Amino acid sequence: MAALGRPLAALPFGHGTQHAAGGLALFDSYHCSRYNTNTGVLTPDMFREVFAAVRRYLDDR
Amino acid sequence: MTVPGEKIALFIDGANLYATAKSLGFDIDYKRLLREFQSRGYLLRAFYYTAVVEDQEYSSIRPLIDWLDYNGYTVVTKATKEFVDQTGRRKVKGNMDIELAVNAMEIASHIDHMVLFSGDGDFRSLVEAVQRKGSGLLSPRRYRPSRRWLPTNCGDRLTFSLISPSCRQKSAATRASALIVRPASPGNRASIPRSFSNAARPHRAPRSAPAMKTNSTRTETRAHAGRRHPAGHLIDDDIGRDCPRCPRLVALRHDLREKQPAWHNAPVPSFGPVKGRLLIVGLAPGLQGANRTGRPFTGDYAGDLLYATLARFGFASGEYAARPDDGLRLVDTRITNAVRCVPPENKPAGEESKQCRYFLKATIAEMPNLAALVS
Repeated sequence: MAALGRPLAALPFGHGTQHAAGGLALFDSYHCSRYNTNTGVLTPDMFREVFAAVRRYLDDR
Repeated sequence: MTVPGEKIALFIDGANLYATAKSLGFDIDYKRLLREFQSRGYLLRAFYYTAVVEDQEYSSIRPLIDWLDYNGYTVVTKATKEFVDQTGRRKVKGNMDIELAVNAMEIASHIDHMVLFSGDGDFRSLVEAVQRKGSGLLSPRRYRPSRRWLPTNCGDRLTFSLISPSCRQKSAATRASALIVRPASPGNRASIPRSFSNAARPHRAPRSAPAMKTNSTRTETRAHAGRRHPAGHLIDDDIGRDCPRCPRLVALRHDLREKQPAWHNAPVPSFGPVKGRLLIVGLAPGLQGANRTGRPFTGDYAGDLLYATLARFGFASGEYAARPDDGLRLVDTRITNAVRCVPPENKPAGEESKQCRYFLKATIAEMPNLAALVS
């Protein structure tokens, strides 16, 4: 986020959230670590949804 | 340096430049200075900042200010304040840094090049802020004298030329410095960052000069970890294997090189085509994942889920086998890490993210088709 020169607070994180910043679409995702998947923070389905959204976004452009 | 039609704005820290020129013993030809930049692009504004002593009948700087005002410069002045300090000494106060900074920030999104004439290191934060104004993807670079900048002589009436090799030899410590900054904008995001800064030490102002403030802070330019690309900009893999920026990560790296000599144990380069539209930004290499294999998300559990998911949506082709030589290819997609070295307990410190942002920015800046980012 900071690499794009935007304040972190301007774009609150949320898994599956999509933001627009500097002409780019940003998709938030929990990290696909074993810790997150084992604890149920991130299920494989949740992770797939993020990339499904990215796919739709790029295909619709 | 500039391309015709690109918009330029000059910011001259009057007191600082005046004092430096004076200490070097040459005059600055302001008319030629203006012409020089007019020939390089579209000169939008040439600001000249100075404080003036109002209550005096004659001010040595007044004729210059009037001339500049009539000849195309935007002169920004304010009256100095005079006061007597505790020890009973008379002091004159008149600092234009805020005015300059405010103007620079206001105009930053309308220009392609900002040229700052000052040796004052305090402006570094302004320069960085101006760069962040657009998409904020460029970083300051050390100014490298180029032939085109050099004057034909450095005699008494040296005209525009802040950087002259022979003059430099004559008085190495009294160079003026010019910081040239190219604000980023979405339109030129993919272009080569053309920004320079000449790290120089302004000379302390002579007593006679109307310099309100010339401090001797050096404009520090961080020693870059990476190699410089021939074109002058930093590319993603310029980080090399021995980036020295984060002491904690360097220590861990050396430790790991001893314990696990077969592992990658170095900054992990980005993976995937530069022309991809999607960039996936991981947190940092996993100890036994990217740090071991040298490819992002490769070799530990995180990669299993990521690459399977990418393949499912057409962002990867081939078989992922947790090895960098498994032949897996990314399609329209690139993967990088916000911090490129493995951190202790897989948790990078805030300062480490900040240090490494320099490389993340370079990665983003070199992707011409980038449209989406997953983090």
